[in-house]
Amino acid sequence: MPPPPAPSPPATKDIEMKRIRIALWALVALSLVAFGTLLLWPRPGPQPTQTISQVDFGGPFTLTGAGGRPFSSASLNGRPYVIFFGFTHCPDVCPTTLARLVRLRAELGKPLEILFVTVDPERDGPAEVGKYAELFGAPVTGLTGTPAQIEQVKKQFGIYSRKVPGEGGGYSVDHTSTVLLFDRAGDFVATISPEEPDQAALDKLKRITA
Amino acid sequence: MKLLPWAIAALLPLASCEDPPPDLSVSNAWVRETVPGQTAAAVYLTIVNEGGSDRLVEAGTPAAASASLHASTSEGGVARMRPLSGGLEIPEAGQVTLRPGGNHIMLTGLGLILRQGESIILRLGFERSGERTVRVRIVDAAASGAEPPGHQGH
Repeated sequence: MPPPPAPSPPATKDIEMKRIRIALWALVALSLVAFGTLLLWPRPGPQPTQTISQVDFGGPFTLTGAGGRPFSSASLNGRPYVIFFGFTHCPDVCPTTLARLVRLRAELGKPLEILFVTVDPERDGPAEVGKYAELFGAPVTGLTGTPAQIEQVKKQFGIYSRKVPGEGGGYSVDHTSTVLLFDRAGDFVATISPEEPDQAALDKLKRITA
Repeated sequence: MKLLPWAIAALLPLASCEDPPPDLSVSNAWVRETVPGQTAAAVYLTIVNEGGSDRLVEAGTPAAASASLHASTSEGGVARMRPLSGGLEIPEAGQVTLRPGGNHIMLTGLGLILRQGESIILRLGFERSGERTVRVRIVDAAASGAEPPGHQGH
């Protein structure tokens, strides 16, 4: 067996260990300081909101209701609402959606504003949307406006629509089929799509009317 | 080849073995009530076929200027409606249901207000079965399903 290596002088080894120990503790201290700093460093507060039209999704808006009366979104303050865009010459999707919303609201058993905004202001004046809204046997607010007002509100709510010429000179309108849900604070909360089952839709309505 | 006429003769019986005649029953035809000013409405119904395939190719009613098959689609959150210009196939031993959000017969140029509880006559034209006449009942607008008003859930 080879002779054991000459041990390093005890003093040097002790000093090395001591240095290593100091270094390690310094590292620990540094980590603690860094961690503490991260925790306590003041973070910038929420950014101040820019002008409402740029950042907020939804209102405020002013349209025209049945009978030509102006309707302001301010009148909704404190009340949750659902808003759906369609047109009265729509034979299938629009009545189906509104009928469904009326039925769900009845199941919900709580007050809920249902707004119907036309994407066809040329044919749907206040009388048309007013009468159409009465079809469903329960409060539905029918809204219209000038083409410019409707375009503006469509933008605010991210709504798409497009005229499609039909046979015989008439036209249909392709349009967003999603229902938009807003809570008491007027904040956008969720959507309901036509394909969604009733239970999921009802749960969302419960959330905004809580 | 002498064999050819025999081959043709052997296959001929197969040619006569075409679709059996269709055997259609139309039921549960309904339409929502309308308000003055509404010019369009959608008729929904069910066709049960216990025979060979057929095709629904036209429709008409005294209640409206025109009646035509349309398909509603909702893709990417956008609702569209397109005419089914080729008609609608009624498969052999099958069933077709026109329902809200799907295929329907669109009435345009409504000549009268559709009132709940009343009915209108709808004429359906099938490629093979010819003409059928059905009574379409007018239901409460809050009705969303083929079941009578008041039915909850599916």
